[in-house]
Amino acid sequence: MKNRVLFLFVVLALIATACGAPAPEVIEKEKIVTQEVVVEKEVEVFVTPDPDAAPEPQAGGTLIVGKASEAAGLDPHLVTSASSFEITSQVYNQLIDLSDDYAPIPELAESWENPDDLTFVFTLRQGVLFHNGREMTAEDVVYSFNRIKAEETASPWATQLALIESIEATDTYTVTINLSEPFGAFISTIASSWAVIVPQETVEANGDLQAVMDGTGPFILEEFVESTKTVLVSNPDYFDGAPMIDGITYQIIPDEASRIAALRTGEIQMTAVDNAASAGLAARSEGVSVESLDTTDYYVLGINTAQAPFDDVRVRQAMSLAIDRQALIDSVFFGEGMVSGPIVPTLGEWAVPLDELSYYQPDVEAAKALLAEAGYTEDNPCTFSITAGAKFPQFSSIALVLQSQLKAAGFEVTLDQVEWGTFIQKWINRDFDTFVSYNGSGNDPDRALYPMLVTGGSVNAFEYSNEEVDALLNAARTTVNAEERKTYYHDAAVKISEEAPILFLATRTAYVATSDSVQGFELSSVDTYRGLKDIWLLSE
Amino acid sequence: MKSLYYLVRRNLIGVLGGIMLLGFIMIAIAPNLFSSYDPEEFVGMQFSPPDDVFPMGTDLYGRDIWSRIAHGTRISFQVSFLSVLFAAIVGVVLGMVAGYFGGVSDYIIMRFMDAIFAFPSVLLAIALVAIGGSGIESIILAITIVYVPIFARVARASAMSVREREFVTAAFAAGVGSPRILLVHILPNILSPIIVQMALRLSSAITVEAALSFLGLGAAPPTPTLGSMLSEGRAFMELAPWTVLYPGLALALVILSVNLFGDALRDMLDPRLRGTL
Amino acid sequence: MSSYLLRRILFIFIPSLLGMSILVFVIMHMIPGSFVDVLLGIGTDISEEQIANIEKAYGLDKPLATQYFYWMGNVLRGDLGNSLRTGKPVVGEIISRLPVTLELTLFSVILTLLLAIPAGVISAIRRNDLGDLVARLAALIGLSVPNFLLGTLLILYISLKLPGKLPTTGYAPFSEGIWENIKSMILPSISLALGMSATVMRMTRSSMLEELRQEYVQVARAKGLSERIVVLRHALRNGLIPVITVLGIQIGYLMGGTVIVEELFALPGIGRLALNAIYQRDYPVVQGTVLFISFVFVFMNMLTDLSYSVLDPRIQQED
Repeated sequence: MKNRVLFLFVVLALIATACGAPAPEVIEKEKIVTQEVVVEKEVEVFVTPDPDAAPEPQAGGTLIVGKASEAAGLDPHLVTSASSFEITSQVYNQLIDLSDDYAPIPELAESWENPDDLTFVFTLRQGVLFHNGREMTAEDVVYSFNRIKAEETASPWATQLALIESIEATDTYTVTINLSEPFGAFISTIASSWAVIVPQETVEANGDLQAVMDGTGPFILEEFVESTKTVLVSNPDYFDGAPMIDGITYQIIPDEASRIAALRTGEIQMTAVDNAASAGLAARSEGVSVESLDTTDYYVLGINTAQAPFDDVRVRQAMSLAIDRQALIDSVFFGEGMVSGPIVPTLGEWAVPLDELSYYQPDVEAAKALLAEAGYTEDNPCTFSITAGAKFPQFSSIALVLQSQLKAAGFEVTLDQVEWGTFIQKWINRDFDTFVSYNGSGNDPDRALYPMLVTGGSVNAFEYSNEEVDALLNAARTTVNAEERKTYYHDAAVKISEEAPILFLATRTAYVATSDSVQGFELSSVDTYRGLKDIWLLSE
Repeated sequence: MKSLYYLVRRNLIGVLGGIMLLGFIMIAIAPNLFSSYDPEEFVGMQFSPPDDVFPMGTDLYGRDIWSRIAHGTRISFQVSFLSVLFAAIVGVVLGMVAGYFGGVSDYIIMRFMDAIFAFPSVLLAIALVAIGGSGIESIILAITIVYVPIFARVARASAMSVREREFVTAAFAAGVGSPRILLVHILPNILSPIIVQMALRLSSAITVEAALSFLGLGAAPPTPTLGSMLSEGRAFMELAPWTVLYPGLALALVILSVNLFGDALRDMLDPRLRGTL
Repeated sequence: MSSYLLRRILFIFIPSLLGMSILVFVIMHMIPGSFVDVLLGIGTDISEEQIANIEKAYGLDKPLATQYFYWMGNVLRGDLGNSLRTGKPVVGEIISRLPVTLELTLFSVILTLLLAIPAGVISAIRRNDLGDLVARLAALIGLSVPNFLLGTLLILYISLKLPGKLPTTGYAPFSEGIWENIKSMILPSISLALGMSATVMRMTRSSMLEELRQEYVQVARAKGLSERIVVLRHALRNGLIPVITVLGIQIGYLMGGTVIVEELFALPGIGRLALNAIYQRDYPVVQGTVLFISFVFVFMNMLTDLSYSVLDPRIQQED
């Protein structure tokens, strides 16, 4: 345990130093612990450059990003994967965006009003141009939202806009949206990467936007080379000011070790890094910095509450007591990430402090007691399996650690690693005891909790049903007042932790490694790469 | 005694291979005799380099690599032995029937075999494992299916040549039933190329199993397999090269020993094929 | 000769491919998790009706037999359909990836020929001396190291000892320069070539040994021809015949066998195209690529068989 803490300290220290100013300053001590002997290796230090001599922003240069997988499809209304949205968010704009505190800020919509619970009126910016040269108007907003909802489009996002009853262009730059019922999360819903505005003529000329891109965003698609690279160039007419760099080129490099190697040699200047160990490795390289960010994604142990032994709430509570979430974070993620309640701590004010949640303080004895109450003994242990999709090795890692933690409380747990598509099938058919996965909270607790835990919710694979929770979530959803919604979510979170229908584990940490030539990049938890339009590059 | 000495001397390399193979098999059968730790327990510090306590170091979770290798060889052998055996059985039956009876049954069987044979084997194995789910059974099934056509072809070719031999025509003329002819006359005479083929396929079966595990489709964690150890270690190769070097060495040595032994076996059974594939 | 060819094509080639098409179609649809399932993943808030709507849009709601005949009908007209993921024609995707796999195959074969044949010949000539033993041992090692293991070790070596000298993954297309392109192919080709070389070398050796025992070689020697001419001009020509067949088969295997190396080195070839398509349940892409790869494989096999009979008229054609 002590050694683990030491290791975690080292990694954190490395990352912390790596996140510093343009040139590293601190003396790094690498402790290599071999049993009893501790060997300290001191790594040389560079003198801090005079902060007043910080380089001036300069225009020009192309940012080369190493990307793990190619965007499979580029139509923002049709795609679902992060690898596609990474690109579409540079080319298209939403009506509204969210600040890093999850408060709404204007993007294509300059301002908006909420005259009554069911109506929203958006006033659009004027003079915004699509890449094809035409100005964006209210008609485009109407077209785009209707396209998402239309049956022929077969958009995976249609359900998100189901509550929109009508949408019209009441003026050249004014859009009025009427909802069929009050929906507190409406603004956050349309502040999403799929809710972007597209030009009708381009869609109709090409059938869809899978291969062609035409938006209002800071970058324009220039070239898409299968499996090799995607080239974007800056949009000189971008309404918020043209980007300083000339463009972004995404190189497809699926293997993480290779991406880090490419970063070191200067072949690429930026890449996402999956795990803490690789991030630590990258941070140690000269000329490379790593930034870490707690996202609103969280790891979860999903439980099939409809089948024994999980239909007994005491079993679930015992599970929650048996596991040690912080220890999980320490061993699988080297201490990176935060323990998460039903609402992730990264969602700012929506989150509920851990000490208000039940069954969150690990207590193996109490777990055993609960199990005994539920009728499980040493001769009749509680047995179940944890399913994990092979595509994400960290899921198996988490499952492994949980398995050993649960064992200490008397659970007999087996692991079932399956191919990703097979896992999805099992999830759809509710063919699992428990599974490890991660979930996105999106940008609103409604998105995080409602579809997942409300009775019959579309992603309620856990067959969970509880009247109190339903009532609270529905109330929170239909209230528009933010303060009222907070209290509902607070109560819901507490109730959910008591019920433990699923075990929320920890937030996912995202890492982005950049070479030192990249300046001015701000990592955002809302949309990781939206700061790209504001960066500039140091030339050699 | 003297002839044994000469036998060993002529096939020295084969004998060495056989001994090495025997060694690995013993480790595979009783890994706990040779290694000290539970392969699935986190017993040491993460990524600790090889030392007195952990002769091959520890991996990402602090598990003893040598123990994992010892247990991993068990999977390698289990999967490869069983799949080659099953493939041989099914292939021989199909091939004998096709070769002996000829005609329509020959045509249908062989076209079916051709279809499977033409399917790129790695992709076929991956698809079959995806269907069968994780778990040793489905990997064995996948590799079996991939190898059946080869055994069928060999069996068929041999059966066709044996079919023309006198004792077969005599038996046929005497009114002996086909199944009996197949079992008693044909089968024993096609055994030696089949056994040679089995020895050949064994090493490639081990390779395929390792490849599947490497891609994450092998036996489920925390069960150790040589292939999955390679792919786990790959991400941290530079930090901890022993996580890749030792499993890789073990894999290569296992396959080498099977190859050496297979070569020697082939030399003994069918000298004509000496030195070939 | 040509009627044999015709019979071969009609009765063997085509039925095999037909059987293959059914096999790949059935297998792909037996894998749990449909295309739409994987597309939506878990955690996408979407209604049942919308899911059904999406399935309809992709043509996945029709009965399987109908989908098969629809697909096959198009295949026979040369249209392999469109990728479900990107909407682009499968033929286009294959063509754009083909050069990479071809280049990889070509480099591997060249390396193999350069290494294995001379080694095999020399080994045969200097039978049982040290050089032969070393060569045979090297061949055994080459046979025993799986290509992905060798690839991994090469990557490790390069990144530790010679960082930056060779790209450890990724493909540099010709547009970035011929030399860049070749550099990106070196490690993957070596990984593939070693195993192949071992097989070809052993085949060459044994075949040459066989030839050198033949009467005509004794005759040539008796006639007073130099050893070198005996070997290179006479024995080699016959000795290479079985080697060619082995090579042909190996090349056929390569098309499908490059998958893991392509995956390891992140080369955008056909193998990886198929592999990713399997994971994404992109049925037309998997079916199209597998059909294509098999076509090449069966074609190469046929070619090899035919060339064998052409080169050695003594060979009887069976079946």
